[in-house]
Amino acid sequence: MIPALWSAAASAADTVDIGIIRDEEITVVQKLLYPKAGRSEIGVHLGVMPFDAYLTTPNAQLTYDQHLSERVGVSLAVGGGWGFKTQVYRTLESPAYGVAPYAYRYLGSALGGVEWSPVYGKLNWNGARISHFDLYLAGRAGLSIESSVIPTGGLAFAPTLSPGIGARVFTGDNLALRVELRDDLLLEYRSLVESFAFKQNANVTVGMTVLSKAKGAR
Amino acid sequence: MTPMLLATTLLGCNRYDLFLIAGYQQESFNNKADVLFVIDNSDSMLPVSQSMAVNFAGFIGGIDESEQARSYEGLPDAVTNFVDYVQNRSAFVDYQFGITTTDVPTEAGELVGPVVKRGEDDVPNRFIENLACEATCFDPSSPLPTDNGYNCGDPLGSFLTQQFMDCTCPSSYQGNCGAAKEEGVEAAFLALCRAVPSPPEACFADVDNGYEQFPAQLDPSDTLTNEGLLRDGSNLIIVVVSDEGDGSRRQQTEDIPQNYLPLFEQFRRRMTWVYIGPDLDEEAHVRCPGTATDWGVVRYNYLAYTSNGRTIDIFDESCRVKDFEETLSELGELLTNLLTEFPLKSVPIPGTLIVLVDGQQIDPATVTGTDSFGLDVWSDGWSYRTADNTVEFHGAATPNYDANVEVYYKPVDGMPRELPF
Repeated sequence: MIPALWSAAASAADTVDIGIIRDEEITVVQKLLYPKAGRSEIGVHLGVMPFDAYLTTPNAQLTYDQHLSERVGVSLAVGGGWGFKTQVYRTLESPAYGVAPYAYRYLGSALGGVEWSPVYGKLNWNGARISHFDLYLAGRAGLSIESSVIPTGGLAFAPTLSPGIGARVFTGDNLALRVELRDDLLLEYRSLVESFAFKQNANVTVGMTVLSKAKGAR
Repeated sequence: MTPMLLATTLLGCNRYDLFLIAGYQQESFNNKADVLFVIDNSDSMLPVSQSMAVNFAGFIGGIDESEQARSYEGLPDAVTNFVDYVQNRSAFVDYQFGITTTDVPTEAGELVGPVVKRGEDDVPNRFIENLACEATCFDPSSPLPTDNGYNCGDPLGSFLTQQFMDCTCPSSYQGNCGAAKEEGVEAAFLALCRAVPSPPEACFADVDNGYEQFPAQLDPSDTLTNEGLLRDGSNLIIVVVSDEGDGSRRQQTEDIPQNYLPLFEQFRRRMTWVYIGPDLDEEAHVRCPGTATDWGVVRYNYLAYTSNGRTIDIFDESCRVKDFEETLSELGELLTNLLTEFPLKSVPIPGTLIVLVDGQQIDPATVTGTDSFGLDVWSDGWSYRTADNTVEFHGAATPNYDANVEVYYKPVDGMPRELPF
């Protein structure tokens, strides 16, 4: 028993000095199973704009991302949808009130910008499966097209800024589930009142993306 | 942007201007026509009396024949009748007729004889009885021709005879000549006063036209003495037959019956005027020589023109009384009970009005000129009238039967009531 313990202590004393790792050098805390650098990503997403009092807007988005590095990528998003009147709108326009909000409904948008993914992590689901994910912030800009809900109230081609936050949950070497919350900030001209108005379309999307093969992958 | 800031931004509401919606339903087609004939029974009508009776007899007889020929047995007949109705609604008119005279001091708008209704027995004879026996001026000095072969019950031929009148009229048909001053518009007004349960106050008021004063012709006890003349939701067609213009007492010699227009409006009925009388030339002078005044004839023309009615020259090119039976048969085409005016609740900001008919945007109309009465002539479309805060349709833009009309506008004074959201 005693010789055995001695032998183990002797092995610990034989460690090799490889230098000192400083805190700022500790960037990888796990094995990065799903690298993005150099890969492109195409996705289809379904979304809804739920926060407008007068319109609920289901929509679909197509995205393309080119990941320049693990953290930074270029992002394009093109989408379309249709804003349906909410119950509030219908109540207002009923004969009881006879009021029509001069709301504009989302028709489509084309946005481009950058993504920054500072977080990559893994999550243990219920002690069993481990999911790898990243979190990203997006900053895009482009054009949105909207139309007046009041018939013949006009179209608006609105310059748009679109900050967003999202997450990818990697479900395979080339597949990811993407959830994103973005807020399109529009400046649109409303013809009936002949004035510019600020509008925001907060959009929650969920979609699947396909990534190109990683370098060195078989 | 942190998630917290983003979430805060998301909760900010979009702000929208609020427009008012005025929604209307255009009237359904209504084939009920209440026709009030206002017959000039003054002495000057003697040359016209015979022709008038024959023309009206042919007109009424034609309507009655088509009614009698129509079958209502079973589904096939119902389908046939419905197809007829859809294809030619104006020919499928549910008429009823009342007659009064231009003699206001005597009749004061009271109907001579009962209202004659389509589908009743012996419509033509009952109508001719009312017209010829009670409302037409015949004078012993101008006796009617005789026809010894006529038997009571035979239809009226191409001219009136003493025998026909003797058989038709229960009492003497002579002596019904009325006042020399023809007051067709006043007579029509009083006839309506007698037909509604709550007549306007003016019905029972003395008249002062600034030149003459007249005691009231009616008192409240005359209410509903013309009951049945007006049916709910019907089209009222007033047909004036006269060889003169209008000399109604509430006006002097003005062309336009401006004192009567607000009186008729109080009945809240769509009315169409038809004037069978002397025509005007291009300079608004009476074409055929006679006692008719230019302004009196223009007055009837104005009413017919502004109510989308008709004016029918009672004389031919040689200034002889002409056959106007065919023209009478076109009365059904006057059954356009389409609404053209839609009032708004609030005053709109100029430029914010949007007018839709069945979802299609209608363009605003433009004034293309003025007519002979000085009224604006509009292109097809709509216009906004500030005087009574109303959207008015013009020409072919008038919404068709059962059409949905929507008017969107931003009100000058904001929302007229508190909103729940």
